[in-house]
Amino acid sequence: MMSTSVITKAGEMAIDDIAVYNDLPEAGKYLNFQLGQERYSLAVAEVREIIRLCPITPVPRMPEHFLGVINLRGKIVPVIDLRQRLHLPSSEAKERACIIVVHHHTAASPDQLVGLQVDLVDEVVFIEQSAIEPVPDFCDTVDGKFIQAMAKYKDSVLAILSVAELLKDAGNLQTNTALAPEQDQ
Amino acid sequence: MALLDESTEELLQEIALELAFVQSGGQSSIAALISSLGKLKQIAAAQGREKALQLSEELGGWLVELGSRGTALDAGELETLQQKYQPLEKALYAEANITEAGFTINLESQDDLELLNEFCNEGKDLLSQVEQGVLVLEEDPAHRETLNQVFRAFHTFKGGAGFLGLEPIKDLAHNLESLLDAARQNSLVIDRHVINLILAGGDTLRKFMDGIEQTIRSDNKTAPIIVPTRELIERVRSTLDGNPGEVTVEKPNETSVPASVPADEAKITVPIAKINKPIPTLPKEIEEPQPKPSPKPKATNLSNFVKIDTQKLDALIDLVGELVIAKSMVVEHPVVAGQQSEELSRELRQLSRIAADLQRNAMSLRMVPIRTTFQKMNRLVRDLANSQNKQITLVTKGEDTELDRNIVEALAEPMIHMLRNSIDHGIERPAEREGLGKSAEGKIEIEACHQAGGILIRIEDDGRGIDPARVLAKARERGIIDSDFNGNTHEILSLIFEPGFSTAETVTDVSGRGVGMDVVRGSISRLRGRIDVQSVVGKSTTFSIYLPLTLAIIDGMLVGAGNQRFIIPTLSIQESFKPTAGMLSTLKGRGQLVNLRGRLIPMISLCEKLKIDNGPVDPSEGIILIINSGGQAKGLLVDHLISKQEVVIKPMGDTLQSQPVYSGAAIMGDGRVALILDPDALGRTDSPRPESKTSSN
Repeated sequence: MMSTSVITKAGEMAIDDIAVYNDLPEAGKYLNFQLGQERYSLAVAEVREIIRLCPITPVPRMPEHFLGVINLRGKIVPVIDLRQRLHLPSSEAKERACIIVVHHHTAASPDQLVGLQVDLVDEVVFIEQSAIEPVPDFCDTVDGKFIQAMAKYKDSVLAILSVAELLKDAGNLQTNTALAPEQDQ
Repeated sequence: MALLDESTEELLQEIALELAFVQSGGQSSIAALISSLGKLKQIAAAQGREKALQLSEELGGWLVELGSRGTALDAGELETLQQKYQPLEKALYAEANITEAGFTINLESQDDLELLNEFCNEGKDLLSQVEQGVLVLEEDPAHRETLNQVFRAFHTFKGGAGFLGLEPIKDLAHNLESLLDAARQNSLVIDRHVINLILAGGDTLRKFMDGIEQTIRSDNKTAPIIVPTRELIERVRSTLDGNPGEVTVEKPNETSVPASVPADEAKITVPIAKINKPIPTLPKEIEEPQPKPSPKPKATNLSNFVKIDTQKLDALIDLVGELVIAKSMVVEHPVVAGQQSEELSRELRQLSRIAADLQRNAMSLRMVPIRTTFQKMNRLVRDLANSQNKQITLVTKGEDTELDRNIVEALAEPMIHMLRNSIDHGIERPAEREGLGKSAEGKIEIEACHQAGGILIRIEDDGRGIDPARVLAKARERGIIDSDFNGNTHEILSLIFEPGFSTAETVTDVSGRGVGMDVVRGSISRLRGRIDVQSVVGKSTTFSIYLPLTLAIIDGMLVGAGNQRFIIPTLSIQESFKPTAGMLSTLKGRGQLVNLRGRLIPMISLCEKLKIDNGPVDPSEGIILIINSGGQAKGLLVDHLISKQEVVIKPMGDTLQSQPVYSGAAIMGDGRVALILDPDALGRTDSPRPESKTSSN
């Protein structure tokens, strides 16, 4: 029951992104992962699967954070380097790197898959509602919008990321949201 | 909503008034009633309201009888009068209702929506069967099998409409069915009048289908769908009663239409001749009183078909593609490849064969014969020839050639454009043709066949051809070419595909608005095909359309640029060669040019275009492909050619929508992804704002 409500919520966020700022994420299961020493989190409902790093075909003329496309069992899935997307320095340590495949909901196509390359995937944890707090003001202005909320877990602090914000215009050279994809059948 | 026209309404009021006073009014009231009823009768007769006509006649007669008695009506008679009047009023309104033929679809659930959608789809299939059948009947009015087929089509229609409660459709279909039934029982001869009735019926039903489709797709699902059917039903009925109206009837046993038609009247014959079958000659037809064993292609028997959701089909095809890739990864795996076992290699060969068969089969699921599109053309040619007083025979060949369903559907529009052009500008009027020593009857031939791994569709007419000199003059006048344009005949003729070009002397409602052929080329290139034109002045014009078999697979050339590989559709590659230093020249401000046998072709470096760093610096180290980019030849410099192979096109998804250079991606045998380049987009100069021109499929 709970997971479906989260999915719906993610879908709404993609379409109506204002809600992202106002609503705190709900308590539930979160997937923790690391970029360098920093710890981040994504709601598991938004995650489809985690795969090991595989050969990525670069797509020339795309933004720098866009690593390319992979073959996920016959589907072409774009992969984004989360470090570059968050404007973190890129890392050479790839041995434990993973691709988190997330659901991406857009108005035009309700269920697209997008891969996010991260340094290390930790674990899935349950985060209580009381542990989730709004993003403090001092957060970096550029990347602040990617962080949906902060959460205390054990003795560390996690930044819960918003998939909708991360992927919004991620593949566009310009911020050109008016592009409606032609839907062939 | 006023159901009745004003004069009828007035009369009804008058009658109602008289009825109220008839007891006290005596003779004068009865006389007034008789006169009102007489007028009503006239109106009913004029509007073809059968029931009202009959009732008013009855009532009028009865009143005349009463009036002649010379006494006032008693209470019983008054009641009878009122009883008799009520059905008349009802009939008037009822028949007026049918005239409006409006109905709203009644949606109680999602199921109803699906049923209606299904009904529309099926209905359209049936209608094209009807059309096709009618064209056969036109040639051979007694063809029993076709008669039965058309009859069954209307019958199915009636059943479906009845089930869904679509009364006006049911009524019309019922009447058309009766018409065909009469023909089946040999009590009605199929002449031109009947044919036109059937076609008009089909058109009306199609309007209903369109109306329903529009309504179920719109937000306002309660909007009434109104298509006038009344007049048509009347015509059908009067024909059934042996009174075909003002249209002249041909003598019952006359199969020879041409002989009976006056010389100035257009004769339209649209026989569907088979490749090896000459058009049946007249005497032969007379000699064969029995129905012939189907000399012409009939609409296919639909009984053995299963309807499948296209999404399921696509999922299956995707999975089969995966299987093929997984298979090749197993077969090519070093451990497996290192085995010396003969048995293993035999099993692997078997596996490969089954996988290949499976893939071919899965692909063929999407394939449909091009027949349906050709059928539409039959009707189009018939109607256009009719309206322009031209005599045209349409010959279709290779209707069984199979193409991807999406292509077949998308092909109709450009073909209609081209046929319109041929009929409008190509084929001359009968008198003119005879003056030129041609047969009065023009001929258009459309043919589909396999060629070089794709499909070739040829549209040929024996009209006046396209005059290169006029094309050239027109192109100059329109500013399509510079004054220093120096092309060969083929290049000149190709100018007709340029935007804004039209050679029509006058603008007609059919073609000649100058948007024709460039639209055609646009549609064809969206299907990853290309179009070519050839013409002999005064003799013929031939359009050749080259199309891939399917949109799901392309025949691609795998090329290397830097350390990456890309796929270029083979259909758009004209040739490839290794350039020598002497062939290349740099034009100031306009980039590099390559000199190919005296032709100067602009050159694009793939590495530069894609901003890949480690490409060859010296063009003479690479390979140049001459590609067709938006109708123009462009040289594309790549590092090397890797291989030519068929690839399954996969959409790249929304995230890459803004990137116009790629038309999709494909998964290669090693499981990695290769990007498919869009040749049209490669040729465009980079604008600061990239166009969304990716055709994702």
